[in-house]
Amino acid sequence: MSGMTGRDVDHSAAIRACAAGDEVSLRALYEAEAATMLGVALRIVRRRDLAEEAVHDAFLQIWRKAHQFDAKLGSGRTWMFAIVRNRALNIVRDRSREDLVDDETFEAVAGGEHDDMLLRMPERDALRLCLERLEKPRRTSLILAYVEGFSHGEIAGRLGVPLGTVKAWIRRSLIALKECMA
Amino acid sequence: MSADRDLDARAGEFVLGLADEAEMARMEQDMDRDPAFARAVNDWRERLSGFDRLAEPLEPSAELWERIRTSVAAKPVQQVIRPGAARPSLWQSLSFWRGSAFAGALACLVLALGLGATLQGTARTPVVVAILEADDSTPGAIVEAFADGSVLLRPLQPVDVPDDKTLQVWTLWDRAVGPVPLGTLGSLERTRLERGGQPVPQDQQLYEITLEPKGGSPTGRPTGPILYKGLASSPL
Repeated sequence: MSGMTGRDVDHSAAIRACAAGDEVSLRALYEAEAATMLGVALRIVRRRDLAEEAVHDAFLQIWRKAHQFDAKLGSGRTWMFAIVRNRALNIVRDRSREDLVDDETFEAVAGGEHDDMLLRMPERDALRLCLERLEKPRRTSLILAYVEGFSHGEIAGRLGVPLGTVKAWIRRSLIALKECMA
Repeated sequence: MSADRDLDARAGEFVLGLADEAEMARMEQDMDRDPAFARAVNDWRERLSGFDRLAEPLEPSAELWERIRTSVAAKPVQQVIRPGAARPSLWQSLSFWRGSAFAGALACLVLALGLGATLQGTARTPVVVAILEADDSTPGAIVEAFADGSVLLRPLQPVDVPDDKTLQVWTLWDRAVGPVPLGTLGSLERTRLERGGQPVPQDQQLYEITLEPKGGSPTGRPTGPILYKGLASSPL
């Protein structure tokens, strides 16, 4: 599977084929995306077994919900990643964070430089350019929420600011980001 | 803050997964009911998808695909209601997906109502009827709601209820009021639920069955995954 990129697959067509019961297409989506989806899930759940659980559940959902996928609402790839992200977030909510911090993964992920993440985005990427326009703590709040699945409270704890401040930061950052990316 | 901005901020928070449980549940319903909100959510998913592309890929274990294949081959309803606390995660997924934008999923509504129920002698004629469906559109139960507020529930699928769980039936006629519990069931069987003080059921009233802790929801609001849901329908 390594070496495959999501671009090798027409996601929307494969999802439609899944809706028609074509397991080969599900396999193709798996080959193309499972490794990256596992990476997305791991950033949130922090444990490999749970990340695999999230990916398992996500592909089951993709198979079952394929008939509900509507390409007019968004890309097939984004649809798949929304599913795995939500599976991972649900797993985190079912457990206390402490359960999940059982190995070095936590430090690896949580200690990761979020600005480094921006630098890895394409230079003229709208998301990157607009994130760069946010003040750093606001940008970090947004990244902790999306990428690591942190709650408002966890972000507040991490950044050492009041909960209300984090809520306001996120809200205003979202509005600014939307306007910037329009 | 303008209404548009508010909608976008809410949709963004939903995508980030930041709202509390009750608010997330409300927003999931909004995904079903409010196309503008659903669009805003999908726009956020696209906008933020750049983060997903940066995830460090990780080779899945050899067994993962086999597990997925086995699950895919199994019957959906049996899986959805897999007993025991073994897989709370899957149940949770239901509660997420009930509101998905892609879910045209609100039940295919069938039946029937009558102003007739206001007439005398029609106590046994339902005012509205709803077919409750699982997340994958499998019909699970029929609800007939009567003018006196009682509800007749008729299962279409067997459901294994784990020993430590209870089925709870809810209805929602006004979002300001929120979901109202109609009754609890140890197992899904033909049951009449009599709860007084209910307004006469209306067209488009939501009915749903959730899986709750033994004895019913501790909060008075749905806390568990939705097994089946559907909108009541008026007659032609």
